[in-house]
This record gives sequence, C-alpha cells and structure tokens, in this order.
Amino acid sequence: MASVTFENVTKKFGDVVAAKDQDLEIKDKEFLVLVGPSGCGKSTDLRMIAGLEEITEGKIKIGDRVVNDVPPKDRDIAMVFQNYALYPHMNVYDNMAFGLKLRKFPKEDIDRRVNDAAEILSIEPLLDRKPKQLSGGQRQRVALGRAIVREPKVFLMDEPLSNLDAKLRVQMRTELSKLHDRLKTTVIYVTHDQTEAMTMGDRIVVLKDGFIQQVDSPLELYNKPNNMFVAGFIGSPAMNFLDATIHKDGNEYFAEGAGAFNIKIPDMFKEKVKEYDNKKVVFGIRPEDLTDARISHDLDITKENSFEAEVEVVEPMGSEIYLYLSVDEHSMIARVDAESDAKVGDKIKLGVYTQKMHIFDNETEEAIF
Amino acid sequence: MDYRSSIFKKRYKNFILISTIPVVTFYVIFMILPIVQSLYYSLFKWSGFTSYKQYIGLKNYIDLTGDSLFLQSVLNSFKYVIFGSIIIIAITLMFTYVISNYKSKKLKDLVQMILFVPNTISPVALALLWGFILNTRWGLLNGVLDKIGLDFLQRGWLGNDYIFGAALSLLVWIHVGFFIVMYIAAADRIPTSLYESAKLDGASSWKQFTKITIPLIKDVIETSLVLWTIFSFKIFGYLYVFGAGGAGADAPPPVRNISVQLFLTAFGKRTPINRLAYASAMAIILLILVAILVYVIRNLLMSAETIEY
Repeated sequence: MASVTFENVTKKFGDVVAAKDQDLEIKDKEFLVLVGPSGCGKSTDLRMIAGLEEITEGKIKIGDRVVNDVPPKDRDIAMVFQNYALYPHMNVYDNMAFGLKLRKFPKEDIDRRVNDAAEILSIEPLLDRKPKQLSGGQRQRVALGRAIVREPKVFLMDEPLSNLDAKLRVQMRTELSKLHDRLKTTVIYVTHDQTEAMTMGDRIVVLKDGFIQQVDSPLELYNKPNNMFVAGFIGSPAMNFLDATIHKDGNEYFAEGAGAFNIKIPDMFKEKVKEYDNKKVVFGIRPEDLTDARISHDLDITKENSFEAEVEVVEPMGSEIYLYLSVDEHSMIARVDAESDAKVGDKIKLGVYTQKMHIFDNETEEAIF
Repeated sequence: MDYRSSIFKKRYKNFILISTIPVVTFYVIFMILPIVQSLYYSLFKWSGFTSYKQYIGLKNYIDLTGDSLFLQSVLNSFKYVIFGSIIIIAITLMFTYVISNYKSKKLKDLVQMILFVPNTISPVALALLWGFILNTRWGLLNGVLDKIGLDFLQRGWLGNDYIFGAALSLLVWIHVGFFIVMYIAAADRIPTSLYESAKLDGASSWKQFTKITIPLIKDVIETSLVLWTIFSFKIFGYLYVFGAGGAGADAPPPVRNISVQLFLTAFGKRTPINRLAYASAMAIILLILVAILVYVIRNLLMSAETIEY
C-alpha cells in the first residue's frame, strides 16, 4: 500500500506532448480514476507509473521513493491490461503464478496465494484451463487474479472493462469496487467511460491533451466543473451550452441569449458575474436541470427562469423522457419527467433550476460558477 | 426455386471439377507418374541409356542393403537432419533473440535482409565460394588463422575428416537467414502487452524470450524442423558442387546425402555409373524415409494446439 505522487511530470513522444507538467497526489488506498477522451494521455500516465514509458521531465514517486529510474519489476505494482495480456500457452494457474515463480516464491506460498485469489474471484474451477477456453468475463477475472496474487502496493488498471459486454461491465464495475474495499490497496484506473469513472472513483482526474483539467470527487466534478470541457465530458446526456450575454437590470443580473431566453442569475452567484456585465459568456445547464413547465411541481415558472423551445425528437426512456429541442438554432437536450406529453413540433416552455446553472467565460472556457 | 437451386448446385459442382483439371493433370504428370515410373524401373536392371531392360524383382532393394556408399549417404542424411537442426535452430533462436530486442525497426529489417541474402544467390556460386573460403592451401579461413597467430587451428577443411562439417556449415549459412525471417515474423505476431505484462511480473529479457517468445513461436519452430528434415534429404546442388570443389570431380562420400548418391549412381562420372534402375530404387527409399520422418515429426513432436491471443 502506498501513495503515488506526480511532480511536474511531462512526457513527450517526439513533438507530441502526452503529459504536460502534471502534479498529482494519489493517496494511499485511494481508488483514483483517470478519465478523458482517446489520446488525452491517460494510458501514458498509467504506463509511466508502471515504468513502461520513460518520463521526459519531472518525478514520479511511489510511497516516498522516486521511481523514475526503477525498472518495472521493482516498482511493486501490478497492472491489468485492456486486452488482459494473459499468456495464451499457460493455464490459469500458471498465468497467475508466473510472477511469483519468477520471484522465486516457495511453492506452498504460490499455491496459497493463487488459491486465495481464485476464491476471491470465484475462478477456482478454471485453474486448469487455458485462456482461450475462457469467456471474456472469466479472462478479466484471471487478469485481476494475476494482479492480486502479487499483493502489490498499487494496482494499475488500463480500461479493464472495455472488452466486456454492457451487462457484464456493470456487474464487474460493482465487483471491482467491492474488491477494492476488500483489498484496501491503491488503485489507479484508466477509462474513457465517464459512467465508470463516476461510479467507481473516490476521486477522478479529468485529462485533455495531456493536461489535467480537474481532480475532484465524482459529485464535485459533476456539480462544480472547472471548465466547459469537464462540464461537457462528465454527465450523460452532456451539459447544454448556449451563447449568452450578461446584462444588469436594476439590482439583478441576467444571462440573455439572442432574444430566446433571459434567465435571472440567482443571488448566490451575483458577485461572480459582476465583472462580466455586457460581456459574452456561455450559459450551461444539465438536461436534468430543465423541466417541462406544464408539469413542473417544484418550480414556480416565471419569465426569469424559463424559455420556449421547439421539440425536435422525443425519446421515451421509461422512467423519464429525453427531449431534443431547438432554441434559436441551438440544439439542446432536456431530461424531463415521464408525465410530459410533449410531441415533435410542439413549442413548449422549459423551466430552469437556476441554482444548478453554470456560466463559463467565453474566451478561457473556465467556469465563472 | 428448389429446381433452380439444384441446377445451380450441379453446375457449380461441374465448374469446380473442370477448374481442378489443369492442376490435377499437372500433379499426375509431374508428381504421381514419376513416382510410379521410378517404382516400376526399380524392379529392373537398366542403365537408362539403352532399350535393354531386365526384370530382376526386388534385387535392387536387396543390393542397397549391402551398398556401403548408399548406407553412408543414408547415415549422412540423418546426420544433416540431426546436427543441422540442432545447430540451425540454436543459431536462429539466438539471432531471433538479438534481433527482436532491437528497438529500431529499420535496423531489424536491415539485419534480416543481410542474413537472408544467401537465399537469393545461385547455389553453385555459394558452394564454390564456400569451397574457396575453406580451401586448405589458399583459402580465406586458413589464411586468416595464420595472420592472427592461430595457425595451430589450421586444418585441411576439405579433407575427409572435416568435409562433412564444412558442408553442414555451408547449409547452415545458407538457410539460417530464411529461418530467422520465419521466426521473427512469428515473434512479431505476439502482442506487446504480453511482454509488458511479463516485465511487470519480473521477467528479464532472456526470461521473456524463453517463457513467452519460444513457447508462442513453437509452431513455427516445429515447421522449420519439418522443412529442414526435407531439405537435408533432398538438397542436392550445394552438396554436389561443394563436394566437387569446382574441380569437376564427384562429391566425396562423406558429404553425400541420398540425393547426391542417387544422382551419382544414375549419372556420375565414376563407378558405379549409369545404373538408372538402381538409382530409382534409392529414390523410392528416399521417398519412404522422408514420408516416415515427416509423419513422425508432425504427429509425435508437433503439438496440435493452436495459440489464440
């Protein structure tokens, strides 16, 4: 068990920067998720911790030890690969025992560890089988088992669930979380799937183009994104963004968008928008923070917290309905109660839970609130 | 619909039959017929150059069992198989280990190309060149040994004591590049993540090679063993020219495999010459031996298991 620390870590592949000046402290026993779109450098970060990629600048520490020049085998980490990387010519037992044999563990010790791990993962009946005789989910477990037997200080997982079907992925997600609780080890988990990140991580690191965008707990990320990228990346369906201008009317501030909407900024955010008077901003609102005004029970609809939109597509999801709407040539999505009877072509009034709205700087894309 | 589809099936079947006629004809004329012919001739006493043929039953086969030159050629063929395969697989694996550790793909390709070059040159030229290098009086090898003060290692490489080894080294030199290309291509199929995983498991590059690469290219190693076995029995040009040493003489008995012995028996310059029927009997024995060996290797040594990543 150990913490992992990044100090000004930069990684370049020729001219391509995969990690830029990253500072990060991963706490002991934490489940940290690195998330971001393809090519954002999340796997590179993981591979640098593993020692499979050299660091161009900066330091990585595991515990108190700087590991920049420590070979992978001496870093006391175990990694689960996206394609599992099971040795196809060895049976499950040998796959799991391989690392221990190389480290010259006594046979009884190897036996005990492999059997314990097999029991934890319910793969005892599979120990004699070769990887090709296993299903995707079983292979996944063996790959985990291979990491567990090593009892490493840090687990690294590189998109371990991405090759599984949707149902199994959900199931394994819970199992991995349980496993983490049971093993109490530091886990660093890479995924491009924000749902995985939200459901599994103690904290999440959002990456884009090698830059860390935000490090926070799932709810903080969701409720207080640092910038438009994080706001748009976390949450499904994604947050709606509409161009707007801040203007002052008496004592109140409003976000006004091309005559289509004019939303009053709640008092709690007033201070933050003062300096944006008459400036362009981006108004952000999550689909679930919009409501069909006709069926809104908990929101008093006024001119200052609602606007009209035309329904383009209706997607009933059972418990709720996704409405795809157009507002003055902008598209947006609202996630409204299943009671709504909105139809394609209807002009409906949408209520906005203004406490949940976000305003971003138009140029820097940073969150104003 | 049924009627039409059955017509179509019939036509399709006919089409397949007609399409295979050229291949089957070719195979029968150039493969099956010569074998049957050899079998037929092997039952006669016949020089091959006159119309006079005398039926003698299995006498040629019985004579072969007491023919010391033939028996030596059989032994030599097995020696080429056994020593050759050990040496060539060891050298090929060594090169595969070194080359697959090169990080630069360009260097990897270049080294493979250089090692492959002998395969692209005429056997006659290479056999003569090897003969020149090993020539006792003015050969390059003895010359170099002399220059670097190792003259006590000088030998009559083309004399009876060393010529088998000299011929084997020629064959190894020629073929090693071919096998290296095969092994490297097979090793390149192995996903990098397996090596990365092994690295994290604590495997040194040598352990990665012995525990990951070799087991995963086992199928190709086995195929190379089959190929080498067939080469050892049927290889002719290199040994014939090398043994003759460019002097137009017959290859000496210590280098002859069955193919060379067979040729010399049928068309050789010295005795026993022009015994085509007798040589046909040798050809049949050669065929049977290769078939048995390949069967043994394929069924007893090779694993039926396929690797899936």
